[in-house]
Amino acid sequence: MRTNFVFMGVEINIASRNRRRWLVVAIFFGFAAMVIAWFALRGPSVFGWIVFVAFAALSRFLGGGGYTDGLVPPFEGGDERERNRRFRAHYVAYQFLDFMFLPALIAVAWKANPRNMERFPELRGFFEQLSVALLAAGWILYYTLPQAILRWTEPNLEEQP
Amino acid sequence: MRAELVLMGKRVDMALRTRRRALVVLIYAAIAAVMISMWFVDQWRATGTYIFWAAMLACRLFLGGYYSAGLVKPFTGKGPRQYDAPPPLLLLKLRLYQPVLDDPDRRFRNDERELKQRDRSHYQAYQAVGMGVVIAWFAAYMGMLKPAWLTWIPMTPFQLFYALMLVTLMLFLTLPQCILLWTEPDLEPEG
Repeated sequence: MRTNFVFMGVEINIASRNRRRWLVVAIFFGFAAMVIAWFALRGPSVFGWIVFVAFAALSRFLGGGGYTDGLVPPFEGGDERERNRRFRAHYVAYQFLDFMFLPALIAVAWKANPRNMERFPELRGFFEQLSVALLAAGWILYYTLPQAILRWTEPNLEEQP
Repeated sequence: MRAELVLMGKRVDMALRTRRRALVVLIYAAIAAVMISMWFVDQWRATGTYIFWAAMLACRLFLGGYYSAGLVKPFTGKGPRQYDAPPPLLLLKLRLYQPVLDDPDRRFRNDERELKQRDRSHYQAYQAVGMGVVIAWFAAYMGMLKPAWLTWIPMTPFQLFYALMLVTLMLFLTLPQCILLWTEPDLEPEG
């Protein structure tokens, strides 16, 4: 796991767990801001694709998956300890998937019932957009949560030369 | 993993992998049948939740994992909550078979190998469930941005979105246990 990275020409040390946790919090604030901004721009908008590109850039920075130069090493390969930690992180992340997924499903189910839509026709667009925004948030968490758990739980690292 | 299932007081030997695989296929076929039949009832408007309950029932009766009953031991390693008060007489009468073990926790506790298998199966299930989330989101977003692209589907874009989310939820609840049941080799029958 990397202990430093360069941001706008400045080398930032993240060997200590405390710093890594702050970084994880900052990244997730960025994700939350993107989803909220997207939700605020209601209706069909190409802003969704901008969010997608920003999300892809942040995910690449976070690493994991197939990315080779992120903060977390790629998920393929590694020794047995790393593999076990990766599996364990996914197990923990899986427990949070329902928290991401159920709000979106409830919003969809609420909108799918025509009786609700007859009673509150003004909320039709709101619930449609809400369900997609919640699912987008779920999607972002899905892709980044295991890496965040790995960064969050790893103890202080020795600095790389 | 347990090698037998207790259904209505009857012991069913599930030590063979072929039997467990047949059970997995049956469960998914039954849930698919429920989903298709509910579409013809009211396009899942009010009956969509039945798919969720069907998946929960399959977990509770057959799969386990998130429940203390079923073939897969509880993922948390904890059994059901024990009460000091004796169980009601009716429950005692209904309980036709209750295995008595020297260590009652053994039925629920996972050893290190089982914990590794649990983590690995969740890792694999995570990929499939995530794919479902991505496809559902993409369908919803396309339905909003370019609804004309989805006119060839015999349902509205929103119904497609709802269906994909229901399938993803069902997979989320059942897939880790089914991966374990599918991949675990033949077990030794319980004594």
